[in-house]
Amino acid sequence: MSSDFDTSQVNTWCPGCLNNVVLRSVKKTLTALAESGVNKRNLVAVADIGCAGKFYDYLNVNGFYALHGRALPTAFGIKMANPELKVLAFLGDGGAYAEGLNHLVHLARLNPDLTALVLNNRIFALTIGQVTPVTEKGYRGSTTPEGSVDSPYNPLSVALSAQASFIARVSPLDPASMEAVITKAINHKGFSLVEVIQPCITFRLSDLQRLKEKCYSVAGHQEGDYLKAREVIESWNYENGRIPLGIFYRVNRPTWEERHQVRNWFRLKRRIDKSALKKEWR
Amino acid sequence: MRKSVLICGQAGQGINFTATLLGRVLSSAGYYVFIYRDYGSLIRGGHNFNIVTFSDSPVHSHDNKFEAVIDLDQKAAQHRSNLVKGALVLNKEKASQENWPEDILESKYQVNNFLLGFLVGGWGLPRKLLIQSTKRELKEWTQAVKAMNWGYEQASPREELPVRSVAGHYFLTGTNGVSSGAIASGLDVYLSYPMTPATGVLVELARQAKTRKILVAQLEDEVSVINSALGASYGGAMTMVGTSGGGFALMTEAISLAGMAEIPLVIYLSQRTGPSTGVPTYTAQGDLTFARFAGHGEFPRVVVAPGNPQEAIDRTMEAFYLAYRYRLPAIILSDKHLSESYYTFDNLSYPRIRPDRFVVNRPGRDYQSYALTANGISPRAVPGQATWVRANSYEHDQLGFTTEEASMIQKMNEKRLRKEKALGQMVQKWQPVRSWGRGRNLIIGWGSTQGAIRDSLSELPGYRFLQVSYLAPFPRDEVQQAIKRAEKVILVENNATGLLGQLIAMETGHLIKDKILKFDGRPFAADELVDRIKKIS
Ligand SMILES: Cc1ncc(C[n+]2csc(CCOP(=O)(O)OP(=O)(O)O)c2C)c(N)n1
Ligand SMILES: [Mg+2]
Repeated sequence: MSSDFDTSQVNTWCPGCLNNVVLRSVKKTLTALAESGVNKRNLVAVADIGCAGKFYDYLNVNGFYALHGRALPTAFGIKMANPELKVLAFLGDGGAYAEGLNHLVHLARLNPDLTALVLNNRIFALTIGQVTPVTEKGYRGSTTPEGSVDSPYNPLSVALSAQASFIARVSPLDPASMEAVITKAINHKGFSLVEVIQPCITFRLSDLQRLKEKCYSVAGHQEGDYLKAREVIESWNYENGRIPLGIFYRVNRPTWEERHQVRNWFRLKRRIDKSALKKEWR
Repeated sequence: MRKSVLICGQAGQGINFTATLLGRVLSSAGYYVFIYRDYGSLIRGGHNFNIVTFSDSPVHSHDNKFEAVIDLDQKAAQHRSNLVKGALVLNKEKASQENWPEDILESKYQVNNFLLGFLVGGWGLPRKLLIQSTKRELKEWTQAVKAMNWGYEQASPREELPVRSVAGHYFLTGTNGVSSGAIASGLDVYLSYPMTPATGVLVELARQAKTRKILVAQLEDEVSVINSALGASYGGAMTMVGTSGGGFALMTEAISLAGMAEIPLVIYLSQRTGPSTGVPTYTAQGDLTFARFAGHGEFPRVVVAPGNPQEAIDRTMEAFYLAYRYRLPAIILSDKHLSESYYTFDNLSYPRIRPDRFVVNRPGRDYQSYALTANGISPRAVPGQATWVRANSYEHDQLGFTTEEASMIQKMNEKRLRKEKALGQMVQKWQPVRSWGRGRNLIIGWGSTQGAIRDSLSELPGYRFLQVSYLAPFPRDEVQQAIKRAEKVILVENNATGLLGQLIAMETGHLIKDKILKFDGRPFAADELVDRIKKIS
């Protein structure tokens, strides 16, 4: 199926990588968005570094291939320049939860109007298989030959504590639900965090079966209820147990751009009165 | 005539306020003023001081010989060796000799105003200058004016200082100059994380944000600051960040990103004494090499080093112009001494550089974010225009897509480095070096040492001063020729190893042997420089 958003770049993900499913869903979502009247020239994809970052090359929109861990501040800055832009950031769990965790916390708190898709394969994939802060204890990666002795933390719980206004988890094993949630995330006014939980078929193939068995949808969940959100988010500790999917939390808060009266600076015609500037120093 | 007043006290006693006010009074009376601030990294206590040096001819630096002292913490004795004979010391002791009313001397801040009134009264300067200046500085000025009047009336004439008629004196710091230059350049977004001595620009721009329609934000750390700034600049905003050495160190990965992705950005770096946390509120010129070379990989950049607030305006506007026209990072290198000292000028000028985002009006369908051009400059577009705009931290092709292909890697490197040639030609017209005085002997320096060096020239016949204002692109020919023509060459720097000297050696092959270096956190004063230069001669 071809799309307006295709590029002619050679796809270098491993054959069968589920990032391809996410890519297809994102293109479908963007196509629907454009059909609903969103100016596609205002779409910007910001990418972190990692396999997850390669969305930059495979999506034909405006793009910024940022530094590892820094996709979120980069995306935030783009909103500071022009609030009319629709910004979608692609990060891996390494970029979002290790190198750039602090930015996740602060964007959750500040609530700029943008969407972060965290492609969580629970591994540093592109650097060939090391543990991340959400890899389970015992995992044998290239830097943990005896098995990791550290337990994961729960980044969605951190995001909730930091007052993120939209928190969801989806899986490419259920593309239809994934598309529906991503669409809602993009349309959400404020910071939306969507964790895409997925198996890395090269380093964690057994996750494929595990995710199929353990994931379930939280249909009927009260999205505006903070305590319920905490309960469902903390019901999975990134190690054992069932894995909830769906929108866990959604509330409306004024965005950073609204609070700071951000405008499209590029369109602002400034008249700079140098004599007035000079007067300041008399 | 050239005089200095020392105003000393604990942090929190309002000595900065009092010194600034005195500076304002003197400058509105037609005198040239320079104020040096010396303070520790604490909020209350300690022993801080300001030196207010003034004259009827231009002053560019402070002196360490005081004619009068406003001594709020009874510590003037510490400065005994710097008092001129018969210096006027205003403190509690003097108060009890003079039977000044006790309540005012016990009242925090009003004592400053009382003593300031006394000082100004003794010079016979019109009271209205004092009152006008106070009203300018304070919203609630009634009490202060009362205390000043009181002090003014107690004063018996010491020495008549005439009010000089001048066209008008401008009174500002390097911080003010950088802020004003940025606004004049069309600044849209300023991002920062507080760090002395760069915080001043954040505070100043926050003060002006509303009236000037700029977005000023303090973010969670310097890494976020610079990455957000690059996002904002990519998004179409005229963007600047500010920090000191430690924060700049955190920014370096993204400086390299600005070089690679060719995103314009202006970076204000105000140095303090290093290494590491160093001495936060003291000055140094220790980051020249770091600023010049920060960032992995090879890419062109601009580093300008203003020497006073007028130059801070000029160089800031040039930095914006060059960053946006050539799509690269431009660093404004200041330091505590320039950022926080007050200077006076007969006039101020804003260079005739028209603010420009350098964005193509109507990018066509065939637009390429990284077009390979003869001068290396790829036309800039911003997202939202009728094309796709890409910025890539990876090596990329003309459209901005990632590449690992050998010939493209080489072409893109060459394209980026080609910008250096046009850049070098461009800055020729902006005086990348400045020359002061005449003589066969040469003093070479940069940045905030300009003031003390200029003030020392009158005592140093046969010397001229070459100020290097562009560290990148480096004015190689100008520096080389000046050194070749000189009989004696002396390097003056506020650091321990002579970093400009090292850069000159790298760029021209000349090793400067005679160096006058100072690295105790304090700026040079002119008399000290004269002594040290004479010793070499
Ligand atoms: C500052 C910095 N540190 C390290 C790297 C090397 N690096 C590239 S990708 C990556 C990890 C990627 O893991 P993740 O974010 O989970 O993405 P994935 O490849 O799994 O999609 C690392 C450590 C880098 N590019 N930059
Ligand atoms: Mg990963």
